[in-house]
Amino acid sequence: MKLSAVLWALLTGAVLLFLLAPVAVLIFSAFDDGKFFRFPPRGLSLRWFGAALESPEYRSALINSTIIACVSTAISVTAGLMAATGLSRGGLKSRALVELLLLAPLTLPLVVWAIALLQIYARLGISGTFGGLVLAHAVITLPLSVRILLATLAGIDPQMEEAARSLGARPLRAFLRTTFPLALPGVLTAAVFSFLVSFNDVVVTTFIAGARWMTFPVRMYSQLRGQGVDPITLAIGAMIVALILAAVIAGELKFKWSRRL
Amino acid sequence: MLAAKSARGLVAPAVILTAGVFLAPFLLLLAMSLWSQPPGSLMLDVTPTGENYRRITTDAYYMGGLARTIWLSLATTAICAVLSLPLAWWIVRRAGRFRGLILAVVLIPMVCGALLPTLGIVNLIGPLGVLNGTLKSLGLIERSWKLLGTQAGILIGLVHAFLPLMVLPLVASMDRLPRDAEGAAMSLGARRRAVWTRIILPLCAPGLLAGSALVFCATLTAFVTPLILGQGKIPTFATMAYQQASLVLDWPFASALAVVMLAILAAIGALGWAVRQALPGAAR
Amino acid sequence: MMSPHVLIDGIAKSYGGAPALRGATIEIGEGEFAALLGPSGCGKSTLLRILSGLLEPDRGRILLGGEDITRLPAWDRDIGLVFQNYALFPHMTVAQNVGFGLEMRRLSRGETRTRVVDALAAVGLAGLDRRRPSELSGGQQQRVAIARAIAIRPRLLLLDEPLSNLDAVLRSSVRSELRELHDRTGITTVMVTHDQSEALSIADRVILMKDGSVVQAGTPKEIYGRPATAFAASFVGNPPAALFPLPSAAAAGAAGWQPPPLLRDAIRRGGVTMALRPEDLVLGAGPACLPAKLRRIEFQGADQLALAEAFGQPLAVRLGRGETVAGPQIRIALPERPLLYDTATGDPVAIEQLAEEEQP
Repeated sequence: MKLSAVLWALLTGAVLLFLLAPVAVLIFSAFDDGKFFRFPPRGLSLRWFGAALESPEYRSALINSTIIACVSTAISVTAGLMAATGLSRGGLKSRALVELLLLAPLTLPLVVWAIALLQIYARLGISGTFGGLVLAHAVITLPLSVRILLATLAGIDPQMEEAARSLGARPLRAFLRTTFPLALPGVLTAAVFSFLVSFNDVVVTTFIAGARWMTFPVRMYSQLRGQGVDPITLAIGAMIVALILAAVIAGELKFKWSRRL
Repeated sequence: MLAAKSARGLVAPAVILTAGVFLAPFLLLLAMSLWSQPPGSLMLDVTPTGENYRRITTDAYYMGGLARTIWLSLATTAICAVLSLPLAWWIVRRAGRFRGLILAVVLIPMVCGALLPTLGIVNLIGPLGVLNGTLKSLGLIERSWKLLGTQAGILIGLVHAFLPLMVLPLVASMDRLPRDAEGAAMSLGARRRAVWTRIILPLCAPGLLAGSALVFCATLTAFVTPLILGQGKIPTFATMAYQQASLVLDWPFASALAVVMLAILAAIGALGWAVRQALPGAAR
Repeated sequence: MMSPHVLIDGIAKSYGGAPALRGATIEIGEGEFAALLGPSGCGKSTLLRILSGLLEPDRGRILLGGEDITRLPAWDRDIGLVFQNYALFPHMTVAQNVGFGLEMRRLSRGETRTRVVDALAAVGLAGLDRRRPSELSGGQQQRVAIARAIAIRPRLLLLDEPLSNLDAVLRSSVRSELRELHDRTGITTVMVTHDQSEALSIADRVILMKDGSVVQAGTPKEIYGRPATAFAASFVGNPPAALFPLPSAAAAGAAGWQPPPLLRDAIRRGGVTMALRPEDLVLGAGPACLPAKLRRIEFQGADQLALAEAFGQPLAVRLGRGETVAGPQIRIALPERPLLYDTATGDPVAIEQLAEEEQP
């Protein structure tokens, strides 16, 4: 190999290391035995993981996050699949405009929106409620679903459904037997990304979460701003990151996720 | 093909959600930024006033914050561009069967959210963190290198958070590069440097532009990373807006700060569009 | 023809104001193999989609076996459709693809199995039922698409450009296989094609379309021998007829051409175009023959094509394999009764009519 190629590979490796380092450190630091992480650690143990699994207050925040993410993902993927189907198969005259509208939240800043939403929610009295949180999360994940599913449907021949209809299948059945199974990897991708965005969101949720429906990231965020993180938070964060990493690597290898975004 | 009626029915829920819940609040924000909150009162005064904007433009605290934010955004964008170009090229041309795995690594900051990687960075660059611990045990430094609570620390976090926004559009545009273009240029006598400046960079310019716009806008409005890695000592425009909205509870003023951010983003968008039009091959 | 099996009655359709079909009326007999022929954009594919029920017409009716099916949805029509790109279901095996229509009809498992095997045997794919479409060649994929369409025992089989996605070698063999399949099954078949030689060689009846209207419907021999318009003449034939506007009497005289009486009448009328098929022309001599300039000779294997120019208009003459020409000045003997059309409208000009016009 030529020197330039070696340098190039080293540079690339350094950037990849930089991308990996924070999550690697996060996972590593959860094994530190001490109450405050320091490097090199005085000792390694699994005790914070054990504590994490037993702590009821963290469990409730995690359960809240999971419930909210599941419900908003269901809404986001359903509405997204409907919209993508209508847009890619409908021959609407206003297609470009509707697409622009539906994808706009990807380019508009969420903080700005959250500052407005906070005030509207306060007036409507739904700040900190389950419904308010799910609505906000469904809306921020919807454009992601729409984009992933539009790209998915663009790769599926619309004549497949027509063939099914000419063979005697009613429209819904034709969709469920032909387009839907072929779109399943895309639907799964949309669901996973919607779930992750919702589950991890702190930018919007910190404005509208209440004491009753506190999510895990918001809880962690207030710790980070205040006294600093406790090791239990670190352990839970490490487990979440490890799960996400495994899911993303599997998803990328099996479904080429990076191409669907 | 679907009938237009059923297509409209399918699109309707998403359009209602997006237009009603996402876009409508932006319009309300414009109105709310003109309201005011008299000191010591919880009631809002809804007579339109430009007082909030006057306060932002005349107070050195806010204008300084704005200048610092723009500087951080520009620096983040530049660093991301410099790091992404070789990485994207390597992914497209050299990674081969590792491509998927490497792209998964690139996706990490995106799929982990803003918070978890930031928590990792705190433990990485903190006074007792991995970086300082390593340097100290190697005997390279005696006292901890102060990164947490400085602009450098914030920059590290921002670059990490938004690098994928630059890498992915670049990979997409490099994927579309005709494979033979480089070979053709070399057969015509172009050296490696000329291949980059005359062929690769011009053809990737749209991707680079898209990535830059995304990174700049994301940085400008980020508040979680600056707040945590700056340890509250380095106010940026977005952290100011966050504090006004969620701690000070002066919502009209927070709205005005948000509107200013939106205006800057609109200007960046317009600039990006103009540059895109001026690029060769804009019609494609 | 007996009472038609398919009656397409005044079907019109426009897309956002642009008319694709302007009231087409077509009859197709039971057991016939019909070809909808025309250049791209003539409305033939739109008509096929309307027949299949995937598209609703703006006006007109469709009768199938005497029953009005205009408003019947595609899934209730029992019309088999073979798509141009086949539209096979990639996530199903060959057998599942072919059995799909039977499953929709809730046939018993055993009956489905029998019919799938029969359909696959009919297209010569016996034994491939466990394969996936992606494991088949293009020609095999098309056979699966045909098997899938005939497995439902359709009342009508529609083929959309069935030969266009095949390479040249396969094309001629598939052409005769399609015809044999039709003759074996007896299913009334409508094929859409833009290739006139395909239409002439397979179909019992050719329906020539242009700009959303039917130009001419008839047997291949009728279409070739008595083209209803100048367009029909210039679209059919290989190469098609050359459209040759008759020169003025003065120009003819100056070139030393003494046209036969019939053409003299036509020249006097003015605005008349001859449609000249290369195979109707021979080289000749004498002032009655059309003076032309030889440009080039194309060797075509079985015969040769002399490309010439007369009065500034290109035309071609088919020559025998061994024939030689002394150029560049040649004379072309015209057929006794050439095809004559009005230059402006494209409508045929009757020879008797010319004679009448002679006496004021």
